[in-house]
Amino acid sequence: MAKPNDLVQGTLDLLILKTLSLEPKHGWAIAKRIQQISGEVLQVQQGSLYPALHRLEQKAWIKAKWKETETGRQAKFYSLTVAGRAQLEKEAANWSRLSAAINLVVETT
Amino acid sequence: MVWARRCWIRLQGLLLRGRNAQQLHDEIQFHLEQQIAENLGAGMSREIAKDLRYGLRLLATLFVSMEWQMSRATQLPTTIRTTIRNLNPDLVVDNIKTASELVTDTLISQLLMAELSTFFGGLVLLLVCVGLYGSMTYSVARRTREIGVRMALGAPREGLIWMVTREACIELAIGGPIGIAAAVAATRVFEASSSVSARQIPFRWPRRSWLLRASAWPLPSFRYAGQCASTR
Repeated sequence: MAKPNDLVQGTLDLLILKTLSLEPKHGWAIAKRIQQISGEVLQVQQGSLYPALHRLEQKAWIKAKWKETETGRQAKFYSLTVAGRAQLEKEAANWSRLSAAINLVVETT
Repeated sequence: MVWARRCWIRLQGLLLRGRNAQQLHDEIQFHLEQQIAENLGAGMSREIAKDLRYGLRLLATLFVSMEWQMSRATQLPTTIRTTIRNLNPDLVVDNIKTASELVTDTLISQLLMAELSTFFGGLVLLLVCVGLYGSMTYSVARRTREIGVRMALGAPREGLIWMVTREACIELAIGGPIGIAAAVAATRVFEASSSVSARQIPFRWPRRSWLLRASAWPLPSFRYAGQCASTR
């Protein structure tokens, strides 16, 4: 299998917000979810994931709560706030517009 | 509301650095434990997993104690390199950064600075408005006698109000564009020197300040012109 690619710059926030839109998750689960859903193409490193999570928390787009996992270990669970949901919609729309534009350029030139 | 919440979270981040560093460390420790468990499931030998866990615990202890002692990463990289060399001499460790440093390196501090600047900018603007109000009030009050003489000579009330208001409007016409130009220039300089966009700053006081100035300037003129005009 090919080596997982680095994320396209600026898309990590969108991926995290989208991953959290279904249910609260801890950092590990977020990273795994992104990896699984992308078919092992995208891999989020800890060095990018945790600063991004803290940045989103500071922007009040996500909130965090310490809870027990199924193994009984304490973990920090992140969930989306109302402002975060609005931001997700905005970023998803931006991404659709941008990717469509890039597709147009790639396919026509 | 969201802005207030952001400020509160950032203030907490500044005041509770030790607690936040500890929580971040616990989070990453959990992440690494999960990674080791997954690797075990994928066939990694229990001996290596045990070594890794020991290494992680050792690193965690060092990391936390170093963070708490606030002895900024001067000895930490050496200690980490030694620990990892003991675990596996073939591993080369380069460019060590603590997780806290990675988080701090993001835009948080710049955004906090921008918001504090906005707050103090607003405060200064308020003080300037009060100052302007005071100076206009004083200058109009000084001319009460002159206005009285003009009235005695038959000047109409509307003419007197316009006379005083016109002077304030001339000052506004000169000061307003200068203020707006300066505010726009300051915003551009700020944006150029920082990775924070002005759009990310709440209220954008500098760009709206002319509205406040515009309202603060003629108000005392109208009020005192009206008062003087009704003097008998």
